Amino acid sequence: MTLVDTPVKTRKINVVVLVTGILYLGIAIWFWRYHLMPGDSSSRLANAYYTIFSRDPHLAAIGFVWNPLPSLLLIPFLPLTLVFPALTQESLLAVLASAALMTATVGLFHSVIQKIVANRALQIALTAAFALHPMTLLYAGNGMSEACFLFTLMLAVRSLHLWLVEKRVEQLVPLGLALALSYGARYEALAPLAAVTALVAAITWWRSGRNGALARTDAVIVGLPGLLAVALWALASKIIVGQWFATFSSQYGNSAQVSTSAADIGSVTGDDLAGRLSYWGHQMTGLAPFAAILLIAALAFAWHRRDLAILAPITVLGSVLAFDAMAFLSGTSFGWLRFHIAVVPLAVLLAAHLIADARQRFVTAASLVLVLAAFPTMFSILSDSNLSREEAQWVTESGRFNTSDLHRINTQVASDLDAMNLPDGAVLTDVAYAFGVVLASDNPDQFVITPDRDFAAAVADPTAHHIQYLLLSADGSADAVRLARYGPTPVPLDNATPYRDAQGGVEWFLVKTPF
Amino acid sequence: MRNTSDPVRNGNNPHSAHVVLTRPQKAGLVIALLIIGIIAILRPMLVLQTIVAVVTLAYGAAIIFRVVLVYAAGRGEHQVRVSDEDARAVPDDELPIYTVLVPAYNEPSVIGMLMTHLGAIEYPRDKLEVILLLEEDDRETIEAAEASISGDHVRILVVPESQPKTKPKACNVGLEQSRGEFVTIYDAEDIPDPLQLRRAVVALRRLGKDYVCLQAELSYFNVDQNRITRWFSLEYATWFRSLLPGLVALRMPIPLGGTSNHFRTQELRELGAWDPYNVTEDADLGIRLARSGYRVGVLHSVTLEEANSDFINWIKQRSRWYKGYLMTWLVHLRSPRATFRQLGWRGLLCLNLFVGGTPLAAVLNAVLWATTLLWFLDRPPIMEEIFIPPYYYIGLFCLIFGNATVIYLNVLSVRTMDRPDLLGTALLSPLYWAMMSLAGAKAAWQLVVKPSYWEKTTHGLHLQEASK
Repeated sequence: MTLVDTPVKTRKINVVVLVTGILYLGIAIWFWRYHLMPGDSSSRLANAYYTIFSRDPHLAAIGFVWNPLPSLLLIPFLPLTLVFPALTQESLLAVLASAALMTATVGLFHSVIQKIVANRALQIALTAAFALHPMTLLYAGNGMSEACFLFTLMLAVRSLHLWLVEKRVEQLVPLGLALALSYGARYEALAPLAAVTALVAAITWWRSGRNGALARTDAVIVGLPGLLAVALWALASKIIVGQWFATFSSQYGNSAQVSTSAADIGSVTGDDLAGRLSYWGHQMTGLAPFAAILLIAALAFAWHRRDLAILAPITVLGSVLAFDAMAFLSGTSFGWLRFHIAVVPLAVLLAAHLIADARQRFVTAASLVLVLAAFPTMFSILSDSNLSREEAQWVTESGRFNTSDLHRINTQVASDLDAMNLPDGAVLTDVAYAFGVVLASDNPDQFVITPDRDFAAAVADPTAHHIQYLLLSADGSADAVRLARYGPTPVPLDNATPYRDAQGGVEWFLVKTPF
Repeated sequence: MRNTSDPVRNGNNPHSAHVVLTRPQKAGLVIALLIIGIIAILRPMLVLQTIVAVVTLAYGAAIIFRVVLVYAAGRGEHQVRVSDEDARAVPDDELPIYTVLVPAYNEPSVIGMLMTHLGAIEYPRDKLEVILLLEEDDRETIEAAEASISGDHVRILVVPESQPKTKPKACNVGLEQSRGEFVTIYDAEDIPDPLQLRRAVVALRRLGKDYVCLQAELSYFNVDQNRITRWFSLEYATWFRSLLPGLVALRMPIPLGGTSNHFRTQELRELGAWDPYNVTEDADLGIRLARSGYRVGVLHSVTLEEANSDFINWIKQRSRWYKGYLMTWLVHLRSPRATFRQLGWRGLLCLNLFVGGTPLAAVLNAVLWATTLLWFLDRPPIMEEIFIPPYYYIGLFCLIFGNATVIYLNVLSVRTMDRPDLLGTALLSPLYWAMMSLAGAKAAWQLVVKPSYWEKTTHGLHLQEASK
């Protein structure tokens, strides 16, 4: 049977992958065509870009504030930019990567669904409920690390599902590797890393008749790759930039950003627990309105059927959601809508298990309705730019205008600098902010940038380092170059060329040296 | 006694390790060294950079190869399995005559136990021929054997004093006189699976004429004696359950292990049997089988051996193995074109990355660890010049992922052995690698100084331990 089944299944997956691939490519091209790429996705691309195209190309230039996988994956494709400059200058590569990764995620998702429900029409419907969810569509095309992260999480879900069903110890290896990879994508992966390791240990312990040594071994097989990923990334970071966990301790890191923006975040989300809880609840209801009901019902039926496999999505995706919820409720996160994206595949997988375990027409129909209810609620969330602050930049007309305007300004700065034909290392800038300008420039070597090994020295004494211009962000809270020159006071306008957005607000200052 | 000098010396074997390096090889080596020397004087940095690049690439390739082997082994069944029922189902009169060769030297204490273990073998006595191969000057063992042998199927063959005095030469003498259609080798302290001979017969008949040899799995009976034996057992589990089946899966040559290899006698004789000058004649034979187009299977049947429990003894044994692997590597690279024609790219890959790669990696490990340590302690600027970017990154990758991968594979072995109590041993493997490096350095030195010298491994250490 299996010999006959396999090729057929593969072909069916291929059709699903092909259709989603084309769709996502279309969305990616839309984002690119209208210059709607979010800063974070260009910034990940820029991190990859510096390792090859910069005055001081070296692998460590990839930086340690953000986990490296989304950037690392792009490095092999960077040389193509010599033929198609738009790949980097307009961040096309970033959106193509997210389209490819989200397509692969859907392929994995579909293969898991195929293992849960047998009916072909249901398989397609459930896969579509995930693949066509507005949140999935947006993040398939915008180049953010969500696609990469979801891909690694689905790899983990799939391996864990297989292990729970087939119980073969070799299946723990891809599971462990998937978890390690997911830490490469995002630090939230710490949660599934711990949760899955604990689950595997517990299940082996229980299955083996309480053999503690066996449980420990399985825990090591699952957890070791992830543990190494965490340890090595921290070690490399410590050796190269002197900080174990830069995302928490760097002035550019997540923690620093959250604390600088605490007031702004608070004004939107409320700054007490009750306010945040309500905000979080609203977001969750928008993404997957009936996730909680699906969870309870699916667990009840799974318990009845002794269907252990349901623990795969709950442990992997649920732990990510729990981690982000805790971070947000405790006031250490921005509370972006995308932080809850894992609930989208989770809700659909729960519905799939519910359908498979209940085996009743009514439950099947109800589950589908509960899952598909996310489409209307999602539209209401997206139309409320308080709940979808980032998404509003692409789905609302004013957001789109502002986003593409930023691209226009960056391109303007870059072409003005390029026109001056400056020598290498003539422009000093902090690429925590100026990544868009460096990407857009034809001559990246003219910049002295943050990962350059002589950056700190150049900041301390620009003149001695033959710096001719400082490129300063108008309000970057940790812009090392601006802070070193002017401190917290505003940049005086007498010696600086300002670059303004359409509303007249200054984005950049170009300051000529000597001052 | 017949004149056995020709087959015994394995005289017409073009890959004999009688001479480790042939004259053209030596000339080539000298010329190469001269050229490198001259360039080193003119452009020392270039030579250092090239060495680093070559070493890094080879090392990375060896690690990737290892992972590929384990992966290939994990996909599907690559050991030959014969159930107990199937093994016993063959009627006695359909069984061929089976010769068991048992070479022994200075091992009077284990001979008695050997009789017990061989006595447990389920094979009709009239079809079984056990030949104890003892050396002329080893009166003690001969006497012990004479006192303890029982049954007409066991006989002592005293190997006449002649050079080289090695285990493969003794085996060749035994093979000359054997009557069996199949032949196998056991060490004196081995405890073979009682059904192993029957399984081998069924398996070889099932696999057909292409297969002339089956390697049974080797494992240890004294796993828990100390940390060294635990490491050793773990290593063997990886070797026989992952790496060799991986080679089978990829249709590559199988370097045989020292005992429990089961041959079709006629083909083995035609091939010239073992090379008495090669100190890992088993690995060499595996490559020669592949060169002749024969295939080797891995038989799911365990022979328990004694794991070397003593540090010095372990180093001696391991350095002999490494020296033998290096020898085998060199003799088969004598005529690279013929080797490529006979082995194909798969065989060549195995020969370089597995046979040559195993001892070289052991030696290089020490050098590379020392380099890493030096870097962290002193950060000499010259190293930045030597390790140029692409190779620096590959090297870093090998340092981190290579070590992690091998530790991880050991943890997996622990699980597939169903010995979770060895988890700590697996995680401590880097200390075992330090021992390997030591053995590797000794092997490289000996290869130059006394290539054919056979480092005898002392057996029966578990007996001393037990009697303490």
